[in-house]
Amino acid sequence: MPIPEERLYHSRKLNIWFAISSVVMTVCLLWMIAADYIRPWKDYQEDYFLSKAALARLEYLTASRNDRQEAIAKAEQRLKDAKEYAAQTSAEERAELESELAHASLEFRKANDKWSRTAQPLDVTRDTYERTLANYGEDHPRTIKAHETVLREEAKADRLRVEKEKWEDQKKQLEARLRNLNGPVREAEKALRNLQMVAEEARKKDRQYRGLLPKAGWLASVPVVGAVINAPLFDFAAPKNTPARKQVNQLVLPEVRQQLNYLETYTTDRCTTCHIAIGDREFSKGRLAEKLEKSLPGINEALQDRGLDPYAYPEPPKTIDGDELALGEVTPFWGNLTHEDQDTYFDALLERVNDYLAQDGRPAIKLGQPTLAHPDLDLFVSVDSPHPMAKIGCTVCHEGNPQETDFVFAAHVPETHEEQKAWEEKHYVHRLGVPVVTFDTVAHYWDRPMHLKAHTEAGCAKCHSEITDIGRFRGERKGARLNLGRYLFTNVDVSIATT
Amino acid sequence: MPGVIAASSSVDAIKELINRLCRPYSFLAIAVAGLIIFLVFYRRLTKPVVAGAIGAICVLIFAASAMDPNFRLIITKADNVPIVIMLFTVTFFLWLSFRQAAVNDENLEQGKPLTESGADDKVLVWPDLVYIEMIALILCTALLVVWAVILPAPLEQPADPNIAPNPAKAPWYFLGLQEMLVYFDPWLAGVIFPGLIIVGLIAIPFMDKNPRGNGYYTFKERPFAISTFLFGFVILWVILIIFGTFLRGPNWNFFGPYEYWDPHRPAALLNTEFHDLFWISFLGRALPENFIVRELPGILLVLAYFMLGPLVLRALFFRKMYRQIGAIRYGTMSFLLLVMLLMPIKMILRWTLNLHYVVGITEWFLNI
Repeated sequence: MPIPEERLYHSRKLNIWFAISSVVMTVCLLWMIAADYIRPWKDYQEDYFLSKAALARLEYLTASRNDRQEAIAKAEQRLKDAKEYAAQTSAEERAELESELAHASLEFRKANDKWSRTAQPLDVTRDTYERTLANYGEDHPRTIKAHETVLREEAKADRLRVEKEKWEDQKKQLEARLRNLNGPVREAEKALRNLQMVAEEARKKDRQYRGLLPKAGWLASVPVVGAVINAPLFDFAAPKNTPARKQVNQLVLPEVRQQLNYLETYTTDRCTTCHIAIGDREFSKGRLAEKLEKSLPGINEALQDRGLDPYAYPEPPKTIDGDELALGEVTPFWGNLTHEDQDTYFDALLERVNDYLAQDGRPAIKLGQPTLAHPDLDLFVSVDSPHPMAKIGCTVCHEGNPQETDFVFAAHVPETHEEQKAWEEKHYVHRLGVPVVTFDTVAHYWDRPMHLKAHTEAGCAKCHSEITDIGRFRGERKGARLNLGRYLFTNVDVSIATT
Repeated sequence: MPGVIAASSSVDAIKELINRLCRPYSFLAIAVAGLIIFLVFYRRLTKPVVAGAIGAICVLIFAASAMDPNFRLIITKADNVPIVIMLFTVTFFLWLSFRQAAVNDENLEQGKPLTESGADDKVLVWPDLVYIEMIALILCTALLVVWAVILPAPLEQPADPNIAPNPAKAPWYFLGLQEMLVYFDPWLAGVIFPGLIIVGLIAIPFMDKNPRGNGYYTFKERPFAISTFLFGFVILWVILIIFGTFLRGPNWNFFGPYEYWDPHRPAALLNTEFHDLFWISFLGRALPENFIVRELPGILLVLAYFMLGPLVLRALFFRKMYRQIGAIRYGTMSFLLLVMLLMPIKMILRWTLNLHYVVGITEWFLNI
C-alpha cells in the first residue's frame, strides 16, 4: 500500500493546539495537587512539631547546664585517663588482637557463607530422598542413589560446619580478650554516655521535630527530612508517626457506633489530626508551666554565655490559702493557685521563653486551641484513664462530624456571634468569593453538631445512662452539671413549668 | 502424589523430564529459543500444515498431561481456566498475525499486492458492522453465562488476616509482576517497572519513525519493533503469567506441572549480594562500614549499564536507526530497551550466581 501523503487536519495547527492544551493540563494538575496538598490541618501540626522541638531545645539547655557539664567534663577526663592507661599498657596487644579479630571475622564470614550454601540445599536433598523413599521404597536404585547423595552432602556440610565453628570460636575468644582489655575504657564510656544521653536525646528530638538531618553538616539547618517525608505525592511513604511527618490521624472505634440513616457502623474520629496534642501531657498548662520554669536556669546560662542579661523569674503569686511561694518554685503548688494566678504566671513564663526562642531564630511555643491537651488527662483521653482515647474517641462525648478534617465541616459550633464572626474570617475557604461551606449549612445538615462547652456533659449520658452511675474519681464527684440537670428534671413541677 | 509406592516407568521419566524443563531457567531459555526460532523461520512455521501439526501435537500433550491428577487440579481450578484459554488464544492469534505477515512479506518480495489492499475500505454500518457486532455480543454473553454456571466464581469466607491463603496469588493480570518480585525489590517490580511499561508504550508512537507496516501485517518491514514487542509481551509478560499460574505453588516455590503442591517442601535460599561478591569473594576483605562505599561497585556497574549500554548498542546494532531517529529518540528507546533487558539479565544472574541485589542500600530502601 503506498504511504498516504494527505492528512485530514493541518498538522502544524494541531501541534500548537496540543502544546497549549498540554500546558493548560499541566497547570491544572499542579493546581489540583496543590489544592489537595495545602490543608489547614498541616499548619496546626507544624505548630505542634515546632513547639515540641522548642521544648526539646529547652530540655537540651537544662541538660547542658554548667553543673552537668562539669560532671560530663569529669567523666570525659576519666575516659581519657582510662584510654591513655590502656594505650600505654596494652596498645600493641590491642592492635594485634584487633587485627586478628578482623581476619577471624572475615574468615568466619567466608566459612559461614560456604557452610550455609551447603546446609540449605542439604534440606532439599533430604526432602527429595524422603519423597523418593515414600514413592519407590527402600531398595529402589533411585532411593539408594538419593541416600548416597544425602550422606555425601551431609559429610561435606559437617566438614564446612567444623571449619565455620572453628573461626566462630576464634572470633569469640578474641572478642572476649579485647573486652577484658578494654574493660576500664568501656566502663568510663558507659558512664559518660549516660551523662551525655539526656542532652543527646533532647538534641536528637529537637532535630527530628524540625525535620532536620540528624547530623550537622552543610545541610544542618535545612529541613531536608521534613521536605522529603512531606513531599507532595510521596508523603505516604514514611512510617506513621515519624516526627515531623504531617498525616491524617484517625482513631477507628469499632465499639462506638454511629447511625448514618440506613447504616449503623463504627466511628472513625479524625479530630486528632488538628488536636494533635490532645493526649500530650506536655501541652497541659500545669505541666508546661513546670517545664518552662525548670528551663529558665538553662536559658539564663545560655544568655550569659552570649553576654546577654538573664531573665528574672516572674513574681510568684500566693496560694489560695495565702501562703507565699519562693521565686522559681511555683509550679509544684500549681493546684493551689487560682485560675487567674495560674494564667498570669504561665503567660509571664511563656513570654520569657518565647523571647529567648525568638533570639534563637525559632518560632514561639504555642499553647492554645487546637494545640492543647485535654483537661483532666487522668480522667479522659490518656491510656490509663477510665476513658482512653483509643477506645472512646472524641465525638462520642463532643459530637461533631468525626471524619472531617476541615474546621467548618467538622461541625464546630461557635459559642457567640462574635466568635462566629471571628471563625468565619479565620476558617472559611472561599472559591470565587463564596465560602465552600458555612457554619449554618453544617448545623442544618449534620444531625449532631458539636456540643457547646457548657453542654459537653450531655455526652456522658450515652454510656452513663442512669446519670447517677457517674461515680467519684479520686474522691471527687464528677458530672455535677449533668446530675443537677437530672435533679431539676425529675423534681420540677410540670404544672408550674407549663403556666 | 506422595505416599504412593509406584514402580518407575517411562511415563514417570517423561514427567520428571518435563518437570525439570519447566524450572525457571530452562523454561525461559526454551521460551526465548522458541521465540527466536519462530521469528527466524516464521514463513515456514506459519504454514497451515506445519502450524496445524505443531498445534495438534501440543493439544495431544496437553490432553495427555490432563490425565495426571496434579496437573488436572491446576488447570481445572476456576481461577486458572482463563489462563488455560489464554495459552491457546495467544498462540492462535500470534500464528494468525504472523501468517498474514508471512503472506504479505512474500507478496512484497514478488511485487504482488498486499492482502489488505484492493478491498473496498468502505463498509455499511448496517448490516456489515453492527449486525456482526450484535451476533458476537450475543454469543459472548451466552458463553459467559454458560461459563459462570459451570465454573462459578468462588464465594469464599470473609477475609481474615489470621488465615492467609498459601500461595497468595495476585489476579492473573498481575502475576507477571508478582513473578518479578522474586528477582527485584518491590519498589522496582511493583512501581517503577509497571510505570515504565506504561510510559514506554505511550512513548512508542513518538519514537517510531518507520512509516512502513501501517495498516497491513508484515514482519520484514518492522523486524526490530515487532521482535522487541514480542519479547516484552510474550516472554516477559505472558510466559511469566503462565509461570505464576501453573508453576508457582505454596510459599511461591517452584513446582513442576506434574508435582504435588506440598506446602512443607523446603527450598534453599542462597541469595548473595553483589557487595559480598566484590569485597569478600573478589577482594578478600571485610565489607566497608560506610554503605555508600560498600555499594559503590554496584552503583558504578548500574551506571555503566545505562550510560555505556546505549553507546555499545549503537555501535553494534543501531547505527542506521540512530541516524534515522536522532539522539533524543534513540536515547529514550535505548533506555527503555535496557530497562526491559534488565529483567532477563537479573534473572540469569540470580540463577547462576544467586545474585540478590546489585545495589543493596537497605538503609534507604533502595535496592536494584
